[in-house]
Amino acid sequence: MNTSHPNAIRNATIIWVILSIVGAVVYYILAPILAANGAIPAIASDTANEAYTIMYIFTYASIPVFFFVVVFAGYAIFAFRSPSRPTEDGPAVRGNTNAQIAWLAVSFALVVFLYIIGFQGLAQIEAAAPARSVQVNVTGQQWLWTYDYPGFHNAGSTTLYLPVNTPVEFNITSKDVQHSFWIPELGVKEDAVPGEFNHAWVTPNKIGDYTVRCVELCGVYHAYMNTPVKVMSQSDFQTMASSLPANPGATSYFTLPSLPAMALVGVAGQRS
Amino acid sequence: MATASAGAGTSAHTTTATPWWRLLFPSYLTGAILAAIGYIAGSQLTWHFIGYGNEPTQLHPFTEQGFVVGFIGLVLGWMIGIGALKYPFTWALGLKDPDHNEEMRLAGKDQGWIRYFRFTTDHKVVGIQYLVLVSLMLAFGGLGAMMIRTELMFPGGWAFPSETYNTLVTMHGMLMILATISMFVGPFGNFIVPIMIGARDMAFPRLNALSFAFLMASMAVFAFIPFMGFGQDGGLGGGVQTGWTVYGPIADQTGSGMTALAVAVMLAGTSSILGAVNIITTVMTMRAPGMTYTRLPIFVWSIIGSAILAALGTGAFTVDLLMILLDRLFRTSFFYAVTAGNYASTTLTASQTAQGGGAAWLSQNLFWFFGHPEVYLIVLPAFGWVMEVLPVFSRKPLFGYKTAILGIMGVVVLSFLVWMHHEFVSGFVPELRGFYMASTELISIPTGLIFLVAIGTLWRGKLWTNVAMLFALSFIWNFLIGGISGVYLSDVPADIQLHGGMFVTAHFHYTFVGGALFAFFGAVYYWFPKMTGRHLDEKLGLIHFWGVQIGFNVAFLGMFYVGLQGQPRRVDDYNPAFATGNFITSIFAFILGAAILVFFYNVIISWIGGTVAVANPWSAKTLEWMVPTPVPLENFEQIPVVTSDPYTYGETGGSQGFPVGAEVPGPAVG
Repeated sequence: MNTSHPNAIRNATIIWVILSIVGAVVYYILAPILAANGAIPAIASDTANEAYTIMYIFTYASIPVFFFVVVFAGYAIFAFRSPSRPTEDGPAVRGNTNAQIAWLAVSFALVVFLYIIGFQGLAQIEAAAPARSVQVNVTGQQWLWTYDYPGFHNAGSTTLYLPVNTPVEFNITSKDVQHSFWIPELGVKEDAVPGEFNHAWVTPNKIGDYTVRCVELCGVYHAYMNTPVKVMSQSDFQTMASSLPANPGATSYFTLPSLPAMALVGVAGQRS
Repeated sequence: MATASAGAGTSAHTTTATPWWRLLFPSYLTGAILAAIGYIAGSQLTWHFIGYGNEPTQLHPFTEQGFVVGFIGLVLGWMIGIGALKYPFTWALGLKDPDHNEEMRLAGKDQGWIRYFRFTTDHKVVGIQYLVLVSLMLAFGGLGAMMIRTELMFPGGWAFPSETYNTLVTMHGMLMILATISMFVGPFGNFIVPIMIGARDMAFPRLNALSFAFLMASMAVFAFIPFMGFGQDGGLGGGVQTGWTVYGPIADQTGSGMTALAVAVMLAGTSSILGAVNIITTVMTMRAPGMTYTRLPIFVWSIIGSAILAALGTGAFTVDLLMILLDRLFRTSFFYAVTAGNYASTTLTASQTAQGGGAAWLSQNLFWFFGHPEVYLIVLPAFGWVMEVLPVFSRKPLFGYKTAILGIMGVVVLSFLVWMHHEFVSGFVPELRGFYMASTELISIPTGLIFLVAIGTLWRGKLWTNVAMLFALSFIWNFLIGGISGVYLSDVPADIQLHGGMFVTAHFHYTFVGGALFAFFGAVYYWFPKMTGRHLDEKLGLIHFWGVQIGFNVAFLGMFYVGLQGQPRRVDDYNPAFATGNFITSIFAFILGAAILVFFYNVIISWIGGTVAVANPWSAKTLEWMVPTPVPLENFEQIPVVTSDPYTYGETGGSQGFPVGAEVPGPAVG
């Protein structure tokens, strides 16, 4: 019935396959370059690595899905476009059972694929914390994080010191409103909820300096609620934790009007 | 039009137009005056009895009960002043029902332009009123967005104080949510849908006008927020530091603007629920003869889906806001320590929260139980409009009409089962995370069906790429990216890295703006000729389209990038490593804003003097194009008899239905 564009489906399929392959290759080359240049945080634990591996897999899977829709819609727009207002109707096609069934089947297959990846990842992060984890009590408050080490005579600090290659379990709560405790490089994030103790654990595997960021809007200085994280060797950590004072650092709520925003740079840690 | 029962006595009714100045009571003018009086009376009386202020050590200087009673007075005064309560009042007194002439007067018959400035029951008037109000809401929300992007253009928190910025973020978010909830159902659900189904008006015309009156009242209260200048550092701006998600306990603690926000949103929620009930009843009971459910235009299906979500989901948010108000005003502890709101002290501890029996988690759950259906409420009519318009401008039937219905209804059902994906890191029972991950990933299937329907309709059609069609096509690109980014967020391990960051913000702006808002723009270009009798200018339309499409895409792709880098959301200052991405996003956001200004300019000059439109400029087949422009007061001379769905392109000629006894028109051409 249509003498124009007799091979439209074939042509569009070819374009789709080519673009998908090119897209995957370009991403394969670009992704490590971008990662090395700060597109994602430095990865310092298996947990974080798992999260970004999943994102890489999703991106590869998204490439053919994205191009399928874009190429077929785009091909239709260019091939079947009328240069001026059309004067007759198109073919009276109300559906195509094969196409609809195929689409549903592929959609289900993609969802099953997502389930497999998702539940595998979930199983890893939901494994219970190892018994020998170093315990860190994390307390969020407006607008400061403080850390206590119950295993080290309740030594307290406003900088988070962690031992490398050792499981660390965070017991997180808040003194006032909801905050959220996130160390991007370690891939650990859990809300700090007043009246509750949330638990998350991770094993840092790279020595270095990282950052805790608050990711739940908690009031005026939410943006500045960052603290440094120092992952150090196990012996250094023992020395550091033993030398910390028993008082858990500054925990009182500071009165706003007397503390301009910039001054928080020193009090609450790095502004980063 | 529902006619009243034959009442005793008739009013002396003339058919000559009443002079407009006599129609000033009731009108928006009297409504505004009485609203102001109501607010002053309510608030002053309350403060007189309970005292104006708290002890100096308390966080909020003014007792907020006064504001709430003031707002109640405002709403009552407004409703009385615009005439919304006239007939309920006469009914309550046992006086006569309005007769047909009075119903016609209430619908604005022979009253000229003043009928747009009062409580008018004609669904077409209400539709235009919604169009103007929603456009104003979008404009102010957009202004807030431009201010936010100005702050974020450079690191260093250089533009506004942090407290002002947080209030801006909250107001931008809430205003845009309220605007996008109403932007399809309000203008087009009201004006177009009754005509589309062959009805003379909505099932409850007075309830319809009341819905709009509630939204106006809501915006009046919302406007108070920046002036409730009792934030934590005493600065102007209302001090609402919570974001639109208004989690307890920060909603309990934050500045007095929160009280205005809660009341405003409860009013808007009422408007939404009333409108939803009205739409569902209208479509169920007032379809023309022959208009079976399988002959309904797909846009009507999407509006029904949206209405179901509004009717069932909004209550949870209303309750959440009510709990916040109770915590603030009456020292309850739903989300909070023993002290709250007016009584908030500057220190509060987790143990105090436990003593009070409150739970911050309750706030998250109440909010998101509404919040998730709400996002589909916003986007479903956009799906429906795109699928309505692609057949018209491809001259082909809708591909997979029943598949499209399955997609819409699948989304409606599943959207109530996914909400805790917003709370994956909140510490709830870990075993449940798998369920919500599974349900969220499952909802991608009905959502994806829309793309199948779109591509199938376009394929081998005869495409007319005017501006309305361009917006429908851009939906395919924008919503695809928005939807794919949602998949990343649905996976729990990935979400742990992405939650609370700018990746989330980019995802939902792609769906809300690139999807729903652009569909709204397209719907305005499409239905403007029917609603106003004029065409929007195509050249300005092209500038508008390319400006928003390019501006939006570059801006928010940049936002995905800084999100992956690790920038949290709702921050006014950030690590200088994120500076490049933010700068690019801001510049292109300004381009997006400028293009929207072009759109508003187009609307204004075209409404005044654009090309006059014929009754069916697009040669479409749905019933609204079969009535003359301007549309007569009761829509149809004779209710049409419907014989097919509106997608008979290439099959038969003519429209979906035609008046009884009329000649069947020939093949639809040009």
